Amino acid sequence: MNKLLKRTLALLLVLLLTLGTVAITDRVLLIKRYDGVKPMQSFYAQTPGTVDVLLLGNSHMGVHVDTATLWQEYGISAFALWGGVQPMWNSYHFLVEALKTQTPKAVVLEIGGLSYDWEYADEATQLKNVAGMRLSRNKWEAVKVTALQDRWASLLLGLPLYHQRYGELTAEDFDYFPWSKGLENYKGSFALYGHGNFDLGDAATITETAEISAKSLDYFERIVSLCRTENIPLVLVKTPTVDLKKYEPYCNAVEQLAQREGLPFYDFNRMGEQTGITGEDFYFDTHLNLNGARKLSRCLAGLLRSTVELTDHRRDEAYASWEVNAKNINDGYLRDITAAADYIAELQRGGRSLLLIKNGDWENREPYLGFVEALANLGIAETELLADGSGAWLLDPAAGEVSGKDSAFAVNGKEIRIDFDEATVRENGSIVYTFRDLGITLLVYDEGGELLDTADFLHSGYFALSRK
Amino acid sequence: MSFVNLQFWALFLPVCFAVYAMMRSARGQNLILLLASLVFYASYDYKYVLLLLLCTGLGYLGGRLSGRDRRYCIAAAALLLLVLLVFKYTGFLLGGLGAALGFSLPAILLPVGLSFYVFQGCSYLFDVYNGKLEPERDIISYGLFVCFFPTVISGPIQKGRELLPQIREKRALRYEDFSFFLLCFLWGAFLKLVIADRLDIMTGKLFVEYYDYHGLVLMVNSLAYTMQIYADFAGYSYMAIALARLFGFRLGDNFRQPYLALGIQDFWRRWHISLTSWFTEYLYFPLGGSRKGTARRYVNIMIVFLVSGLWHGAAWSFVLWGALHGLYQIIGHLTRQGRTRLYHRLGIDTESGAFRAGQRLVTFSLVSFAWIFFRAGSLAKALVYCRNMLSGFAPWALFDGTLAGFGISGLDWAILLLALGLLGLVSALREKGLTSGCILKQGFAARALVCWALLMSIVVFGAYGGEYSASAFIYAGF
Repeated sequence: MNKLLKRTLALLLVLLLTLGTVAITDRVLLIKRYDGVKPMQSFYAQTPGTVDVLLLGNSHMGVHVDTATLWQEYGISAFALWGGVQPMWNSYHFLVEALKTQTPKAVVLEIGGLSYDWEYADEATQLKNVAGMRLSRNKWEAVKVTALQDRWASLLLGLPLYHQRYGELTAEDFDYFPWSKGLENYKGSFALYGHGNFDLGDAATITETAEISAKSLDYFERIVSLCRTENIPLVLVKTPTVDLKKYEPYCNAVEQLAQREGLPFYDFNRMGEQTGITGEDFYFDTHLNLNGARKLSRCLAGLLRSTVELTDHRRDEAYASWEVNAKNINDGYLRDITAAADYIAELQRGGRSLLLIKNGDWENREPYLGFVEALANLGIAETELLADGSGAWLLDPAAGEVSGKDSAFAVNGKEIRIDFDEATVRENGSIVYTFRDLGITLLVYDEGGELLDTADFLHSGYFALSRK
Repeated sequence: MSFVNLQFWALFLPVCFAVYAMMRSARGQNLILLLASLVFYASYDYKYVLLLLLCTGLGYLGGRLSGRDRRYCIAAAALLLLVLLVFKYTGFLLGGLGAALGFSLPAILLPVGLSFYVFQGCSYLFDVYNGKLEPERDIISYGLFVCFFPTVISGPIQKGRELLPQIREKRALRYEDFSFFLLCFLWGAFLKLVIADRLDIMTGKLFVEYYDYHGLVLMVNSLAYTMQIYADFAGYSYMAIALARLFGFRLGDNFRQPYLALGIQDFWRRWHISLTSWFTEYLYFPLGGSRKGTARRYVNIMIVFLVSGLWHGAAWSFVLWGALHGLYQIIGHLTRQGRTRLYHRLGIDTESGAFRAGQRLVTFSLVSFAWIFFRAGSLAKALVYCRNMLSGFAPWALFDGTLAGFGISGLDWAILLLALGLLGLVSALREKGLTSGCILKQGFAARALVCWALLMSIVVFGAYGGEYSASAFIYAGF
């Protein structure tokens, strides 16, 4: 081999290694936004051809539709490919990106993005709606329409905009590689815990029609056209919101567009009876909590199944990641709950074993009586909890099964012992929890017998939920 | 489009180099480089390309006409200096007069690189006038000499007798030149993006809000600026030298570890060498240098430094900066014998490492103090800055997180100190005679590793993109 060839090959090798290192660095430093970036990165990790329902749009789509419910109750393999404050042009380019690897049977588009009347979003929104995309011609086209020219290069490469994150890296930052299981097991939707109590107005009383900006309309039409070309049914939705004055005029405009294009449009603000959503199902005035999202998802699933043939994949091993996604959403939600009543209501959904420990006796019983009444919904008799002395029970709320009062149990082959003298819970001999204060403690196990969450309802705290 | 701009790397340089590589003659190579240089210059401000061409034409004509009468060189140089005067000093010279007489002058924007290419043209004309250089006949060669894109914005200021012979010869593409280019450019970019632009976050803030701070904070800030201006300008110079080498040109060093200087005179032998050399050859020597007695020597030194101050900027603060350096040198010279006697009497070993370290520290402190006047923006601001800096020591500012409040976090400070440590190490090694050639003599893997480490440091720790506004090279403003 002559000298020139050797040198050229060596240089090429170094160049490749350098590019590889830069690519890995980019993955690590990438902003891990739960909206825009994480959904897109996770989408790339999906097995090609497995996403049956593609949920597109802004945060209303990402938060209001629960992929866990769609999967667990209907076997629908749905993916929410969304970004916060996502304008139509980014939704369009997300769709183009999605269709590179997936052939969804339906695309559901949240039309909230049509209400944005600006040409360009703020810089943070611009970044999160393109940073997750792989370098490609489509990303370049997305960048060009997302920002003014002076930001094109930075947005395309990404690293110039987030390379300074080296001071804030966490374990999650090192789990964003194409082979990361965490990405495959994430299906986009984002659950919120907490609720306000909003008055929901009557959407039908708002009759005016808003003017959709030319740019938004252009990209809406591109989405319609692309779905038509790919022969994918497109379903337009406006998910519930408290701020009807803002969105309903756009819904009225979309109603006309949908009629013109021959597309189904569901304005869930006008379908309260079908969804069953109330003011308590809102996290705040713009977004539903997970309970609201579950209700909406059931309604949406019914509508989708009435128009599109969707296979129930729940028994298909190839779709196991949807089960993991559902579990992750529900487990995460459970851990987020901070109110005792909500916690007990969530546990009633089943799928978990509960170890209930009553530690000690107490004089002031009034707050306890109310709490015992709530606990009874999990299947345990009030008389057991009101009896003197400490004790522990193993519950399966879905099956309505309650063990006898005991201090040793078996959960999925694990031996669990409660020692009231030393106030500990041991799993196969190892201490996993201590409960020194007077009150009730719940240890929640998943179906595999893994400890999911622990919650204390202490006498000193009037039986409000607390966690160590 | 600067050297650390994506357009430069993604489009300009690859296209320029590819077309250049296809040229079979020196003239073809020069033509391509000249055209590329004009495109590069136009990317800063296309309107001033005409001025650049005018100055190029003036220099070329002056040289060509020198065959008839050498005074044409002086006339052309005078016209070039007049252009500089009009564009750079009109406001400074007539602003006060205008205020007194009640009229205002329209603002004239200083064309980028004007001070550099005017001085380069003058150096050519003076050399031709003095018979040190044959006038250049080829307009393309002369055009490239003035407009060459690596040097047109901020130097190093080239002399015709050094660069023109290289321009006339066809340059071969050499692997060694490419290796040098990579290493030298990355080192320059490291200085600029990891050190200078990071320090700029702090100095940019504190040189504006200095009136709110006192003592150690302002001292640290002036030290930060001392390192910033060096990393910025030396970084630029390394990149310019590297780019020139990519096309086969060898430019001399513009910096030689200036902050390791043992005195002010030594400092100026190491700092902005191309400008110091210009002033020495074309101003200090013609004024008589040190040949006409001590008093005249001091006058000449002061003239050179006052002009040098004015060359850097049309403001009294720059004049005072120059005057300070002139005074440093004169005082140093005046006290030299007395100091030598004192050291002798006290039995101080002036060759010892500790003594030299002391000399370096004193020189560094004097230079650092003078930079305050250079950076402050006006004489009044510089004086207030100095007053605040010398009042209220407040050493706790180093430990109570105050310094982290100026845009550089704790981790960023650590990275900065590591980068400055590396700069110090490299400077010390170079002082010992270990140049970049030592790395280039290493095996391929070692060279590749050094380049890779520099590149990754820049990619991750460089102050670019995002929250950082791309800061221009400081000397591009002169």
